[in-house]
Amino acid sequence: MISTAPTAAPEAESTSAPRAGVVLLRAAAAVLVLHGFLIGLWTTQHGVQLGYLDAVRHVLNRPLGIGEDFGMFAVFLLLAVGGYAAQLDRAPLPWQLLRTYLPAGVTAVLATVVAGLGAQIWTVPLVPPTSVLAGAGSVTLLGHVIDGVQLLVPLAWLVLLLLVGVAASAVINRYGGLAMLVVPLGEIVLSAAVVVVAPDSRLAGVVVFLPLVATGQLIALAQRERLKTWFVVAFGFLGGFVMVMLQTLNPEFARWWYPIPALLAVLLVAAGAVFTGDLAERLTAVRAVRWLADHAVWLALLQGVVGYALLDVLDRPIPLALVVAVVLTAAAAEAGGRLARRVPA
Amino acid sequence: MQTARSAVPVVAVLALLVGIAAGAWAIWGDGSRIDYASEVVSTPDPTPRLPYLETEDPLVDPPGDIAFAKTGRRDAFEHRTLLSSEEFAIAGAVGVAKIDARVTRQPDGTVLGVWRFTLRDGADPFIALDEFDGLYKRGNHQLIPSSPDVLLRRFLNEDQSAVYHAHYVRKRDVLRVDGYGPNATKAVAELLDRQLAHAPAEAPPE
Repeated sequence: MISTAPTAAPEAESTSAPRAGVVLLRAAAAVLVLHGFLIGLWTTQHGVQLGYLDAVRHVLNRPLGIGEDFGMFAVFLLLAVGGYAAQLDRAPLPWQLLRTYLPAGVTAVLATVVAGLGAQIWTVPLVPPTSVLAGAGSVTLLGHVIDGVQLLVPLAWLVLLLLVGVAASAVINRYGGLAMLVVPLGEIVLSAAVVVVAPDSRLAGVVVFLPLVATGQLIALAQRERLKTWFVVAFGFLGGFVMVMLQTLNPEFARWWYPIPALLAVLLVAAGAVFTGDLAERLTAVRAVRWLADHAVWLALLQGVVGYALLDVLDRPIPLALVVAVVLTAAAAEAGGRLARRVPA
Repeated sequence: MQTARSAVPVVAVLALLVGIAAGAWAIWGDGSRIDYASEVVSTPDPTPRLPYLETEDPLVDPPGDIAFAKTGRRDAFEHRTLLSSEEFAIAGAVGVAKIDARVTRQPDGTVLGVWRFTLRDGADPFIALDEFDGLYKRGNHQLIPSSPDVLLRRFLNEDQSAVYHAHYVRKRDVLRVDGYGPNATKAVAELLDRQLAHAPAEAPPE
C-alpha cells in the first residue's frame, strides 16, 4: 500500500527521536534473547530435545552462521540499539545511568536471594553459588571484569557496556564537534588495547563488544548531527576488526563466529534508522511490541533467575514448563519496568 | 481502488516466481537422492549451539609419504586395489556407508594405513568388526595380544616379514590400522598406540 499522507513531522523531532525501525529491533531482540538462553541454553544444558529448536538450528542458525540460538545476536542488537538510544537521550546523566543500571542491580540482588534459598539459577559456572564474593561481584558488575569470580547474572556484562555507552554519549552531547570523532574512537581503541594486552581475560571477552555500542552511537549521530555515512561505516569496520583480532588471539572465542551476528546486528540497526517507515510505525504502535522493546534488557537478565529457577522446580511436560517460565519472567520484567518508571526521565 | 490496481503487477510477479519454482519442482523434484537413502549416517551433534557442525577426525596421519588417501562412499572404492573384492563385499554386507583411508609408504618400503569404515544408521558396528576380523582369521592370520577391545592379527611370510591388521570399534565406525614391510612390527605398534590414544577403542555392549 502506498501512503498518501504527507510526511509532516517537524525536522527537529524526527531526527532526535529514536526511529520506529530501531524500536522494532529492540522488541525482536527481546524475543530472540529468550529463545536463545531461556529456551535454547536451558534445554541444551539439561539434555532436553525440542523439535522446533532443532528445526530452527538446521534451517536458520547453521546456514546463517549464527550460533547460540540467536542469543548473542540478540545481545548484540541490544548493545547497538542501546548505544543508539543513549546518544539520542537528553535526560540528566545520573538518571540515565541509574535507569540503565537498574535491571542489572535488581536482578543481581534477586539472584543472590533466590540462589541463597537454594534455587538453581543460571550461573557461570553452573554450580550452586557459595561465595559472598559472587553476589557482590554481580551487584557491582565487577565480577564481569575479574577472572574467576562466579557470575550470578551471566548476561549482565551487557549493562556494563551500556553504562559506558551512556557516559560516552553524555560526553559527546556535552561537547559536540570533535568529540563525535574522539569519543567513539576512544571506545574502539580501549577495546582493542584490552584485547591485545589480555586476550584470555574475562575483561577482554566483555570489552571486545564495546565497539557495537559505539557504532550504535555513531548511527544516532548520523541521524541527528548529519555525520557522514562513510565515516560511520569506516568506524563500524574498525570496531569489527577488534573482534577479528580477538579471534586470532583466542581460539575458544573464534569458535563462535561473532563477527557474523555483530555485522548483521549493526547493519539492521543502521537500516532500521535509515529506512524506518509506515510499517515500522504501525508495528511499534502495537502495545505488545512497545512492551517488549521497553523491557528487553529486563527480560534478558531476569530469565536466568526467574525462568531458570522455575524450570528447575516445574516438572514435565517441558513445553508447558517453558511457557510458564517465559510468562513469569515477563511478569517479573513488568514489575522491574514499573520500578524503572519511577526514575525521572 | 487505486491501491488494488497498483497491487496487480506485484501479485503477477509473485505468481510468476511461485509458478517457476513449482514447475521446476514438478519436473526435476526436490533434489534429494532416494538412491542414497539407505546409506544415511546421522552423526550426533554434541555442540548444537555452535554456528557450524563440528566434525571430528578419529584418524591419525601415518608417518611417511602418502601413497593413497581417499574419502568417499563405499562405491568409490570398488575398483581400488587397496580394498580387496572380499573386503568390499563385506563392507557392503555389514552396512558401511562411507570409507576414509590414508596409506603411506616409508623410504625402507614399510607401508602403513589407517582406515575408517563408517556404518549407516541401524547397522551394528560390532557385527562389522567381527566380519572384518573374520576375513583375516580365515586367511590364517594369528590373533596376537594387544590393547583391550582391539583385534590385532599378524601373518608371517616365509621371509619372516609380517603383515598386520588391527580392527576396533569407536562410535559408528570400525577403525583399522594395518601395515606390512621390513619394519612393520615396530611401525604398526607405534601407529596403533598413537591411533588408540587419539580415538580409544570401545567395548562391546554387555
